[in-house]
Order: sequence, then C-alpha cells, then structure tokens
Amino acid sequence: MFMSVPPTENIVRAVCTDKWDGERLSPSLFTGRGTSVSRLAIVPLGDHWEMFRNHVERPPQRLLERIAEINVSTLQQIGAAYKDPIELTVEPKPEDWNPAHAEIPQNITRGLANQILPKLTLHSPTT
Amino acid sequence: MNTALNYDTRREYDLTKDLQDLASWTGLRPAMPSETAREELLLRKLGPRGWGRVYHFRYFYSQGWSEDSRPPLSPRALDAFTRFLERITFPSGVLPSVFLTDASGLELSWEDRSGQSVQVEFRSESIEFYRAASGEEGEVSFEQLETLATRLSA
Amino acid sequence: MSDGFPIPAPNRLPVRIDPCPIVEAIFEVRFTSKVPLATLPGMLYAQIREKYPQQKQLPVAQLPEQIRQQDPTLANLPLLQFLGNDFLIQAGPSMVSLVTKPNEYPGWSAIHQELEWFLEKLKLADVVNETERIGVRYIDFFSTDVLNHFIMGLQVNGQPLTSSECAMTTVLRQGALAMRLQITNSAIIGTKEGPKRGTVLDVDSWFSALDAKVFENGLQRFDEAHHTIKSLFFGLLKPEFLATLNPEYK
Repeated sequence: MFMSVPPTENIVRAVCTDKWDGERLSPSLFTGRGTSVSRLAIVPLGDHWEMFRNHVERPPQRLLERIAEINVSTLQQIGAAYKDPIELTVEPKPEDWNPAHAEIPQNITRGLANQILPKLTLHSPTT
Repeated sequence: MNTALNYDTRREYDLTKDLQDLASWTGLRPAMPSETAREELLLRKLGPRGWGRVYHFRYFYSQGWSEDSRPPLSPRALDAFTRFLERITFPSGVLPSVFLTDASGLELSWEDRSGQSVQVEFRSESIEFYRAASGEEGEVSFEQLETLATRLSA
Repeated sequence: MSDGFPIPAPNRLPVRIDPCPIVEAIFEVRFTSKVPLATLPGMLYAQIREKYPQQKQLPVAQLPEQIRQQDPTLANLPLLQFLGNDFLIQAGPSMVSLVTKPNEYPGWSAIHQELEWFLEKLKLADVVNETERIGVRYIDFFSTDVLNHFIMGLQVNGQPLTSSECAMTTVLRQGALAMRLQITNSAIIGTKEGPKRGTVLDVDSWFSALDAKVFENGLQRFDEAHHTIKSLFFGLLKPEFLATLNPEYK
C-alpha cells in the first residue's frame, strides 16, 4: 500500500496533439476520475520525454506536444479553494512502462479543471 | 482544402466515356454528397486549423488511437458538433479550438467578448458546457442543442 | 411527401411494375467498431455462415489497411462478400450491408424479413460500438434513354436540354433522410447477356448518426428509407410512362 504523493512533489501529464492546438490547451486533459500523472521525484523531466513518446504517441497522427507540470500542493490548494471544495490527492500507481506513474482518483469537474489549467507549466520538447 | 470525391468504386454501373469525370487526374474532385456544406461550415466557423484538426480526428485517429486503445471519434458527437456549429455565433475575430476528448468526443473552446473561456464538449449521448464568466457548467441532451447554441452565442 | 419537397408523391404507389427496373438494392449500416478492424468480418461470419456459407474477398481488400482507413473514399468500402441463396452480405472494417442479387429483386416483404434476421445476427456478433449511418440505395436501369419520361431534367434558358449523353446529380432532404439522386441516360451496366447501355436512376439515401441507432430503430429506418425512395421513384415518372410499365396496385 502506497502513501499519497507528498505535497512537495511536482507531477506532470503528457499533452498530445488531440489536447493542444498550438494556442489553447484542452481542459478535458484533467476532467474526470483517475487522471494519470507522473512524478518528477521518481523520473526526471528530461527522461519523461522519451518515456511518454514510447507510450502515448501514435505517429504520424498523435504526437507528444507538451508536458504539463504542476506542484501537488498547488493542485490541492486549487481543490480546497474551489466553489465546491474537494480534497485532491495523488496516489502512486507504478506501471511497467513508468515507475513514476500516479493517479488523481477524485472526479475533477470541468470548472475545477479550468482552475488547474492556468497553474500549469507547459514544457516544450527538448529534441 | 480537401475535396475528396465520394468515388463510387463499387461500380454497379459505369458512365459512358465522355461522361466520365477525369478530374481525378487533376486532383480536383467533387465533395461527398452533403459534405460540401459541412466542409464549408467547418472552415468558416473554425478556420483552416480547426477544420484540419476535425479532418485529422475523423480520418487519422482510428481505432486504438491512444495508449489505452480508445474507439474512434463518435459519429454522434461529430453530428452534434456540426449541428451546434450551424447555430453558434462566435465573437468577431475569434476562432475556437477543437480537441478530441478521451471519451472520443469533440470539445470546442473559445473566449467570449469579455475574454473569458467558454467550452462545449460533445459526447455520444449528451453535451457538456462551461462558462468561466458565470462559473456555470452543466450537461444537456441533444434536443437542447439549439437552445444551448443560442445561450452561448456572442 | 411533405410540403416543400420538390418531387410530388403519387396518390397511390404500385406494388409491382413489369419489367422491374431494379438492378440492385443495398441496405447498409456504418458504425464504429468494438473489435479490432481485422477481426470484424470473422465475427460476423460466425453468426451468418449457415445461411451465407461462401466468402469472397473484394479487390479493395488488397490495399493496406492504413491507406484504406485514411482515405475517405475507401474507408467505408466492403472488403468481403458472403454469398447466400437470395442475397449477399458485404462487410468492411466499419460497415455491413445486405444486398439483393443483381437483377433479382425479391420484393420488399422478403427484404424486410431478411433485414430483421440480419440485424439480429449483427447484434449477436457484438461488433457495433456506435451507429454512424443507416443507408438504403436503389439502382434502377432502363435499357433505353428514358430521360424525357422523368419530370426532372436539365434546362437551358427555359428550354429542355436534350442531349445524347447527360448526367444529373442532386442531394435532397426529406426530414431526417438525406438522398443523393443521380440520373444518367448514358450508363453501361453488366448483365448476363453482356454490357448494356441505357438510363440509370440511382438513389442513395441515409440517416446520419443522431437519427439512427441500428439496434433501436434500424429496421424502422430501413422501412422509412425504402418507402421514401419508392415514392421518389414513382414521383419522378411521368404518368404516361408509368402506364407502359404495367403497374399493379393493391
């Protein structure tokens, strides 16, 4: 049994072509239950690019465009301050392809996702 | 702009030689029946980037397009999306963004006149919407599509 | 037909005409698939093989899957045909269709019965994720130029355009049903007696995704489309021409 990811950690999420059009980011990136994320404390950002590409890309159509990063504490503060407050947690869920894999088990509504989006740091590909 | 012909390759009959359309050799081909109106609508309301993304999602994101093998774009979502576009008016100069959701639906995102986000997600059985200006979010049936478009129009 | 539809429906529709001009009738369902595209035909065949034992691969199946999927003109074409006594069934990665045998139209009653059976088997095959379209297409052939016997034609400056070679295509709408109507007096059709030249009337109709769910209203939609096409066909014929086709009424 794993403990929740501590608030000091930063997590990332892959942003593919279907969720980024060069101008706007899709809020559906974070809506729903069980949003998949990955922990920078386990796998550094630089190593995430190839790992994500191998797992999520379906060239030529679906490509990894960005990696979105947020601090867990920031995420939790957003949830707590939302008009319908919710305690957001990040639960480790290592996978064969990604030992840093984790999930946000709670249901994130569209309204809440729209509060999260402005707090994301978007990283562009290094290669 | 792609104007792919709905080429009747089933060949139940042939036209005589002089009536045959040789345009395929020039790359200029008539659009599929009733597709002309849809293509023109997509281009007019979404701009070339949005039109291209919808085309991409329709024909290039086939079965198993994601890491967890999601089904292709929902035809019902696409239909609802198109009907919504027929009725919505975006603020002048605003071209919305189009996304493919993990539920294999389509999502529209744009800013209203006050610069605040408006989003509509088209699923196979319903439509979800959000307005940042009022914090309003909700879900409507396809029967309420026209009403929603009127409410969200500039 | 409703007000505003350009082709008037006759007061009564014949149950039969002789000679019967129907070359082929196609009843098609397009859908997104629950199963990998390569396995779909096999899963369908498992349900229909007692009645449709023989399989035949169609030419477009030779093309690589990726090319077929990404070309809108190829994506919905059938790859396999299954042969039965009175009908054919065709299947592709995202479509199935029931087709009458060339020049052997069995009548609507027989078709309706077969469609009911077919949809039942399609449901058992459990391959349909979501209906994209339900379509009905009728192709009629007349062995002479009968363009002047239709109420529809081309005009130039108010005068009928008479030409030895002419083709017209238009898209019409009747409620939720869209129809592509194509008429040409210069078509060549293959028959048992060899190729023949004449007039083709080709009506391809469909209900799109929001108006069709194959296992909820599929049979009803096929019914509606058939009736509308039949009304359209007889509405296009000038009465004096219809009289030469020995119409039988109920």
